[in-house]
Amino acid sequence: MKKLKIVLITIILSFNSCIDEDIINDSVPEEVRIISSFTTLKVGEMATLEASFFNNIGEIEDNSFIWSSSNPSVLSIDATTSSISANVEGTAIITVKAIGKTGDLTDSQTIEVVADNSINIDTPKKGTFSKTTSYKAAGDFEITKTSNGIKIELASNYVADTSLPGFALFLTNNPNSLANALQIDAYDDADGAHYTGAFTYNIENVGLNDYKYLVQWCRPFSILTGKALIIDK
Amino acid sequence: MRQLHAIIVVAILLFTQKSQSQWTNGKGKAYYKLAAWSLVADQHYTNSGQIDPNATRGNFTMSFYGEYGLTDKLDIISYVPFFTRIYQNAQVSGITGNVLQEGESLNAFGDLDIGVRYLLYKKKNLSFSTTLKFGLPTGKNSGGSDGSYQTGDGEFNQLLTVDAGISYQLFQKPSYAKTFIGFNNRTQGFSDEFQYGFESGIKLFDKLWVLGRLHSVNSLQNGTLTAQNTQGSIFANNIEYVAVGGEAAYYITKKFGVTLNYTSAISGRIIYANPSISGGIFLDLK
Repeated sequence: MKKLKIVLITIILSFNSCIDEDIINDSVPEEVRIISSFTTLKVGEMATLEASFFNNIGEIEDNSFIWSSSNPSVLSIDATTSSISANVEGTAIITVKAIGKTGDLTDSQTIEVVADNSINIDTPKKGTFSKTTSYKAAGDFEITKTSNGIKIELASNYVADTSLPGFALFLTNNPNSLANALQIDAYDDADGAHYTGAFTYNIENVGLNDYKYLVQWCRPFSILTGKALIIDK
Repeated sequence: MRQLHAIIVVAILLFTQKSQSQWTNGKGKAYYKLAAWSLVADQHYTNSGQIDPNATRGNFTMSFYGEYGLTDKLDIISYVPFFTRIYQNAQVSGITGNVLQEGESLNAFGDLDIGVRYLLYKKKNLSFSTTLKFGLPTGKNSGGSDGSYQTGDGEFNQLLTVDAGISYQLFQKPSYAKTFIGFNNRTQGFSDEFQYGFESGIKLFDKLWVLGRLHSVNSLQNGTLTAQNTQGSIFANNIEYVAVGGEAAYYITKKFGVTLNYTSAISGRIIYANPSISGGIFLDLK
């Protein structure tokens, strides 16, 4: 009987059934990004630009910014407060600089100063999905600003793999992690997930430049299956 | 993905419960086994048969398997997974060390199988039998924070097999070979399955059986469950695989022994791509 107990205990203990840790390589390049999305100003108008610093895991982190204008006579800017003044008609490139752990980081935005500000354009965004596993992921999309957020329009060639368990779609600044990601569609939300063809998502309280990627995930099993970089259209 | 676990437990583990099982035990004779089975998987075969990574998931199952001869030609069979633990590792940032997704686990009873085996024909060293097993949905078919921690598939299935085996001497050692084909009728929208398998073993040193197995499960693709209508439980349906394994069974006494098994899917669809191991003790009451 003693031998039997020893054999039993040995068998049970020899199997590892404890929750361990998977170490995820969630590193992304540091980035400074101009969040304000307007690209035109009326002569005489003033505005304040906003920027964010994203650290090496894509999280917003406090940092100091230094602003400059390529053409101060057209568009002048306070180097620290980012307050800009539209002086005369023309075009200027506004640049913001921050210092990250890897060195100087910059981002730029071209702003046109016009006599009549009736056309205030926020540059739309676009992207194309590519698959990151053997599961299907493809298709184009556009993102435009709305009165209270953004609108993501998936094109008719959009594809997410219908065999994926726990499919979900996210906006994120780090495609390797769902930390700080914004879920915009999922298999378990009220209307289920959209897998194929054209579809529109209206998302409130999100800016055009708040996120850098649109990603498809198999959420329960933490599998990134599709990734799209969001770029200017 | 629950059924990555459940199917392997029900199919592979049950399939590997006893060697030489094309032969019935005989009236009043029995075989009992208490086993622990473990699978830890960080990759899986996708629906297209390719291998992709996944968060590490594990399944640890303790089970009882029994065969008892009601008559010389009829056995009753039972597989009882009385403890099944499904778990997933925590996802931890390699940069910050912060937990990105908490680890999680679920402990529950698994899907129970009961059945009968009937000896159709036996002459000298050749034997034919048929086996009917009923898979009962006694496991938990939804669990955990997202419902994907499950110890059963929630469906009642009936697996009918025809088994053939032959015993012979190989290198003057007792040996055997057997094969089976089977049809698994599944319910609740699951696709039916065609299964087949081969097994061969040899007895060494008068106490040690060493054997190898192959088991293939093939979906008939006639179910209705998809990822879109099962809230993420697509891994329940249309699982296919070819698994190979080896096992050693050592008789410590004439009736009592220990077993160790290693099995891995060498190809498949919607099934984990890591090997499983199991160990157990058995009573062979002949």
